[in-house]
Order: sequence, then C-alpha cells, then structure tokens
Amino acid sequence: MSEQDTGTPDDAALLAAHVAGDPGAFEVLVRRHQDRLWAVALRTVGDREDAADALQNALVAAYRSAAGFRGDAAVTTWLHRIVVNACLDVVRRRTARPTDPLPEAAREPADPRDRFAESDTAAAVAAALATLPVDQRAALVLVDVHGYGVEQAAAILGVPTGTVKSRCARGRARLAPMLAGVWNPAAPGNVEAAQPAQPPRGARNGEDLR
Amino acid sequence: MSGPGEDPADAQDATAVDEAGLDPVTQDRVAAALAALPALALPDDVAARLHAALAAERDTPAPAAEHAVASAGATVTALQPRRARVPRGNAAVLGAAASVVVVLALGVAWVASGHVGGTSGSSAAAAGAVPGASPVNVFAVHPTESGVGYTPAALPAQARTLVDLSTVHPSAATVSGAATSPAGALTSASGPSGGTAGASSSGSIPASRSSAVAPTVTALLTTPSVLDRCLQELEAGGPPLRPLAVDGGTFRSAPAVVVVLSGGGQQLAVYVVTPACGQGGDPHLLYYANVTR
Repeated sequence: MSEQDTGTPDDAALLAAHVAGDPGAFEVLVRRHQDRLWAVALRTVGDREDAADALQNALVAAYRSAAGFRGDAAVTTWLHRIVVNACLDVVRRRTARPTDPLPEAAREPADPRDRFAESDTAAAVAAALATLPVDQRAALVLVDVHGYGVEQAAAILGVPTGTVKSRCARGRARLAPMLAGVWNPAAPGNVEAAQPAQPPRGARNGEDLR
Repeated sequence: MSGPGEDPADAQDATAVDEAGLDPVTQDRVAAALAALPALALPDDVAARLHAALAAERDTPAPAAEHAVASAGATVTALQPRRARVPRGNAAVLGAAASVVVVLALGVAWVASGHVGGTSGSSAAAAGAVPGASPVNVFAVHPTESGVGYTPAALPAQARTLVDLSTVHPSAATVSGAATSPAGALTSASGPSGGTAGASSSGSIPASRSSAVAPTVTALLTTPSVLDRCLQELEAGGPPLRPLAVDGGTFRSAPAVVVVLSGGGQQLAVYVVTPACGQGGDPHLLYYANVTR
C-alpha cells in the first residue's frame, strides 16, 4: 500500500484496499474528503436535506462501484464527479419536473448553521449563488469557491473546458449585479431582488395538474 | 467561438457575456467573493447518517436492488462513449399472450459514470469519457397493466406496492407467459373502498389482468417508442429518468398510466399521466405526488 508523506495510505491505496476487502478503507477515504464533498454538494444543491441525500447516495454508489475505478483520474476527481452528478440530478429533477418548489435558497442560507458561520456578506454571496442555473452554479462552486482548475472541473462535470469557462463567465455575469448590492448597499439589484427560478410546470406535491 | 466539443449554446452565451461587457475586474471581483465563502464542515447528523449507510453497505453482502433486478434478466449494455443513454426503445415485447406486459430493458451504466440518486446517463456522462471508472450498474423496468383504479388518496400505498412488486417480481410477466399484473395487490393497497389501507409488499400477483385497461393505455405501455417519448417528456430536458415502476390503469375513472421514479433517498416521485403522454411534446400529467417509501 503506497503511503503519503505522513505515513498514511494515499487515496488510491485506500480505494484499492477497499476493493481488496479491507472493511475500513473506504470509510477512511470518505472521512478524509467528506467536508469538501459536503461543501460542494450543499453549495450546488442549495438545500440541506437534498444535499445530504445526494451525498449519501453518491458515496454508497461509489462504495459499490469502486472496483470499476481504473485509476486514470485522481480518486478525488472520481468522488467529486459522482457527488456532483448526484447533486445535478437532484436539482434538475427538482426544477425541471413538478416537484416541490425550490427552497428559499435565494433568501436564506442553505444550511442554517451558515447563519452563524458566514458573515452577512458571505451569506448574501451564497444566497446569490443559489439563484444561478445549476450548471453555472456547479461550475462556479468548483472553480471559484473551491479553487479547482478548469481542467479538473471539466473532468468532474464531464464537459469540455470551454464549457466550464463559459458557464463560469455567465455565472459571474449574473452574479455581478446581485453582488453590487453587497458591495454597495445603496446600489440596486441586490440579492433580495433576485428571484429563484420557478419549476416550469409549477406543480406541488399532491396537486392535480388538470 | 465554439471550441472542439464545446456546447455551442454555452459558447454563444459566452459571446453574449463578452458583448455585455462584463469587464475582467468585475469577473475577478465576483470570483473573489465566491472564493471568500467560508468552508463548510459536514454536520454531525449528516455524517452519522452517511457512515451508518456505508456501514450497512459493508455489512450487507447482498447486491443492491438495482443489481438484483439487473441480474434477473435485464439486458446489460455497456456505457457508450459520448452517449451514456441507451434508448428505451430496446424493449422486448413478450409475445401476444403477454402483450400487455413489456420488459423494458434499459442498460445504462450510471454509477460508474458518476450517476446516482435515481437518474442515469445525464449530460455529464454523455459528454465524454469517464475518468477512472467503468460501467457497473444497470436497471430495468417492467411496465404492467393492472387496470387498477388509482386515486389521490390511495396513490401512496399503491405506488409503494407497485415498486415492491416490480422489485420482488421483476420478471413475473416473462415467467408466466400470460398476462400478469399486480392488480390484486394494488387493489389491496387501495383498501376495500379505494381508501388508503396499507399495502402488503408480499401480496400475490394474480395470473390475469383487469379487463379495465383502455387500448390507449396498452398502446402506450407496449410500444417502446411511445413509452420512450413519454418518459422523455417527463424528463423535461433533464437527465434520463430511472423509472422504478410503470403501470396502466385508471385515474378517477379515466385511462391513465402511473410512472414511479426514485425521488432520492426514501422518496418516490409518482406521476399519473394520460395515455397521450409524450404527444405534442407534453407529458399530459394528471397528478403528481411525492411519496415516502
């Protein structure tokens, strides 16, 4: 088992150990990355429960499919890809089809703890981010929030690098007027004015559609 | 300007952004604001839940439901580069006697391509090679025609039973060679008066279907291309759906088809559509319910 400089197994070694039957290896791997994966999930989904579901489903799926990992990408990229795709699926299902309307993500922090963890400015930025179309949001979460390179973000999202760049550019362009109110409270177009996207078919749970 | 493999719409929008004049300074300022967002730690309750799920996975050698269904006879199709989604038209209509039931084999490598949580083969997987993974999972759905009268009140119990039966008897139709359906169990789930009596997932599957199934419903369920179009409309441009169960019957006395999807976690997304589902670019939704398993 290869080891990091710290003497602990690296990600690839942990995954290989898991595939080989080590019952604790995958948990060590998850604990190593769970905070960042959670942050990506929560920022992308914008809803705590949905993010928790997506993260759990994704990591259980990764647990099961680890034997299929070929090692031609970093383990973290693979994990992020599974988690991000689970998040995108959750958001698209929620917004593209008649389910419960989007949460009040545009006005409230996704995680109640954020109220305490984030400053007013950070909360406003997070709220503005939550109003973006999910593809743009996911790209910005990876590139701007978490500092992944465009190429790694492209690998995670499964899209060309040019697409990541354009999504980031479009996302920033949408955010700029909203953040103007944060940077300058007297300016128009602050976050409060931003409206979350509406489910196209507008159905509610248990609702007749005719 | 669209680069190789780049989504033209994205490139077009990027051009529009440039033309809108978002200056690099503002771009950097927005990026900096995003970068300044604080780190988030996995909350204790979510961590406990996550690790409990992984522990359960470790302690359960039996395959997941999806694997079990797949091994019960579904067609396994490897993920194709550039297009993960396998057309649902790859269904097999199982003989005239069993024409009311179609085994719709959907071979989609979804987990290894980074797809979980109730859908498969989304645009991300379709966009290109999957780094570090290979196909490992497939699923199947077996549309049935129970002829059951679905009602808003009974729908949760009926949907649960429908999914249970689809899992427990994934190949019931192919085994009997005759028209089989979960009609009895679903009727039971509806309660004696069509109410909300609890369903028994182990209820027996009767050997015959109800005669109350409209030809239009049969046409939807037994014509793969028609059912495929219906599901595509339910997708509404999102990632391909992973239906857990599809059943034909009635809804408020009108011909209808019930499509049950995984809603993530323990949630079921239950859609009731008319037999015209998919026609005119419309799913023809009658009713929707979010149901806890």
